[in-house]
Amino acid sequence: MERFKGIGVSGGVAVGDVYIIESERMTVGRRKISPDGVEDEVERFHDAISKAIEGIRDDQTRLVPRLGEEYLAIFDSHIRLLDDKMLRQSVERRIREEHMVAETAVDEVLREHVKLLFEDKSTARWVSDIYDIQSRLHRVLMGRSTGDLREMKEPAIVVAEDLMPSQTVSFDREQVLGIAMEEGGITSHTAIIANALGIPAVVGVTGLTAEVRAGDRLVVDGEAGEVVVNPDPETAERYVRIEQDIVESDRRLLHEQAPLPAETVDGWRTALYANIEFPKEVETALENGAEGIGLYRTEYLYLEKGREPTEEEHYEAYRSAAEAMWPRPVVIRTLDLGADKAAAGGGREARSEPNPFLGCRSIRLCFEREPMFKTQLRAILRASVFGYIRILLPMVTSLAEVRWAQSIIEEVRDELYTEGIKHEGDVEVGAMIEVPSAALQADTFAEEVDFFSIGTNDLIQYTLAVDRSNPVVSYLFQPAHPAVIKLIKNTIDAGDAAGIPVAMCGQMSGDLSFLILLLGLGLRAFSTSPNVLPELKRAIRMVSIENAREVAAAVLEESDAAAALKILRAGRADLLQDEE
Amino acid sequence: MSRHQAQIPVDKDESLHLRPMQALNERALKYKSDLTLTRNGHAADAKSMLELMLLAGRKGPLVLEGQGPDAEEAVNALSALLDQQLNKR
Repeated sequence: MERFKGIGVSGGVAVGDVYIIESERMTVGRRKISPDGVEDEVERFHDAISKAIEGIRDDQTRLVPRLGEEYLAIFDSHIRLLDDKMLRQSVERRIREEHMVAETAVDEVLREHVKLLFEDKSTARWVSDIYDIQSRLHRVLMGRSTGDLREMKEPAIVVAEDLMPSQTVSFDREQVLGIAMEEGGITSHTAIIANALGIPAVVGVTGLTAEVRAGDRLVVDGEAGEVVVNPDPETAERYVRIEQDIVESDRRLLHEQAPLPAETVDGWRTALYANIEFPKEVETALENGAEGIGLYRTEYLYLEKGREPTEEEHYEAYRSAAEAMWPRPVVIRTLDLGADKAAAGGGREARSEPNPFLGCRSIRLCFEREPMFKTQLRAILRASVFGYIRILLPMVTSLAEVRWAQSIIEEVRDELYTEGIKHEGDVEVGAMIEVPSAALQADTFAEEVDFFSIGTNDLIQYTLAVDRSNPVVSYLFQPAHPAVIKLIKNTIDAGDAAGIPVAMCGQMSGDLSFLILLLGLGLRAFSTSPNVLPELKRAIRMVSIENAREVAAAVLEESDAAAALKILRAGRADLLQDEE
Repeated sequence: MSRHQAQIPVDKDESLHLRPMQALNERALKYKSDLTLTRNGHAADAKSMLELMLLAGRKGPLVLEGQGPDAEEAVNALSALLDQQLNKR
């Protein structure tokens, strides 16, 4: 029996057998395969070529009508370069004779080729084409690294060094009992998805993959952030009991709270919304008493397929969520990805930026790739006919961006009108307040948008200039920092003054430590993971706004995060104590 | 097994473009014979676009050599194709 500490990012406890998913780094890092793995590796390589060619054909069908016929030839020539006799033979030889991993073999062969191309000016111009096919092959090979989830037969606990979004989105709660991985933090996509699916998860478990073997039994304790490898019978038994207790008390809480209004002791009504990633989550949201979807993250549409989704794919997803929630609102956030992750968009390659969080991400990426943005907006306006959809613009830093986005929405509306396609003409547009500049200018923004949604994770990161996934500085990520609280207050006040709704959809909105403060600051709409809602509602029903205002006033007096946190923790303890 | 050879002049001594080589490559794949294109001492398998690329920067005429059951037919067809593509005849 061995215990590992990590960060619990999705609650609950799971006990089960291990299923190891090897990541690209593990595969490439190893560089050699065992002799009896040669045939599989050769097959994996040739498969990858076919898949990469399919990928090019997809891009071709999608992009050529948009870009023009001259691009047809470029795609054709890349197909010819991939389906190449020399490439196939040389890579296969390296796998067979030197037991190289396909990725490494491809790299070696193409690197040699690039060197030869560079020898002459007239051939050097084709180097970028070689890089292109190399990265296509890499993407395919990485996507199907050894230990594919589709080969998982029994429900198990997934162990990995790191998981790619395209892997996690295919997780199924019935199959994946728990997740334990080495990389990642609270805001990683794995954490978000695990939470969304209700799968217990612990991330940041250093040294885990080196210790775990196939056939091991594992406990994932998402509450305590602990992983136990091969627990002794008593320990395993104890965790199984905890697992059942959690399921039991969650169910009880849900039954108790679901029919009750989210109302404070002194009669102030609040609205509780759910954050979702997938349309199918609306059911969980409704079961947990959500009064709407406060944040529909659409990134997974882009990540799941590894390419830009079609208008119809967008449309189907939005329509089904809107229909299921009707007459409750569904706030759809437009694409919120960095250029590093949005490889598929516009047929471009993933681009690494020295400073991705200050780079071309989110609304900026939409600005840069207007056709991609329009595709999403068309689908949203079309789906709005079937429900109450609102559009949320992420990461706006200036009014110019808001106006630009509004003008694009306008354009899309005109296009749909001209084409005679059914759509909703008047959709509310809101701004996500997650950058200090927007929070400071909230009063001006409030005059031009229909609602605000405060995104706390980014707001804290940008205000305090700290990356919480960097362990050296993560202690500086302080949600209770007075500057953060002032920006939140400013946003709520501006929204109130202009008479537009203000919601919060970040992690802070589901954190009981901050509940009293936020109510005291005047926040009346909260959006969190569906499974947090019953607990949040129970707590709201214990708070009086009068008292909350006093707490908020006291917190605003404090000059540092530690002192503010002390007040907040005391309030949280009260909320939890009354539960007993 | 037969062996055939043809020389294709290159009008201007400049570098070759991708398009004629791609046309050659696509056609070459339809034959059973081994087909080698040589230029200034550098040989490339006509069935590999990656290898053909490397001839672009070399100077001088191209020599196409075929070895196999359909070598004669292949060399005739491909050299005509290359000549037409390169020299627009």
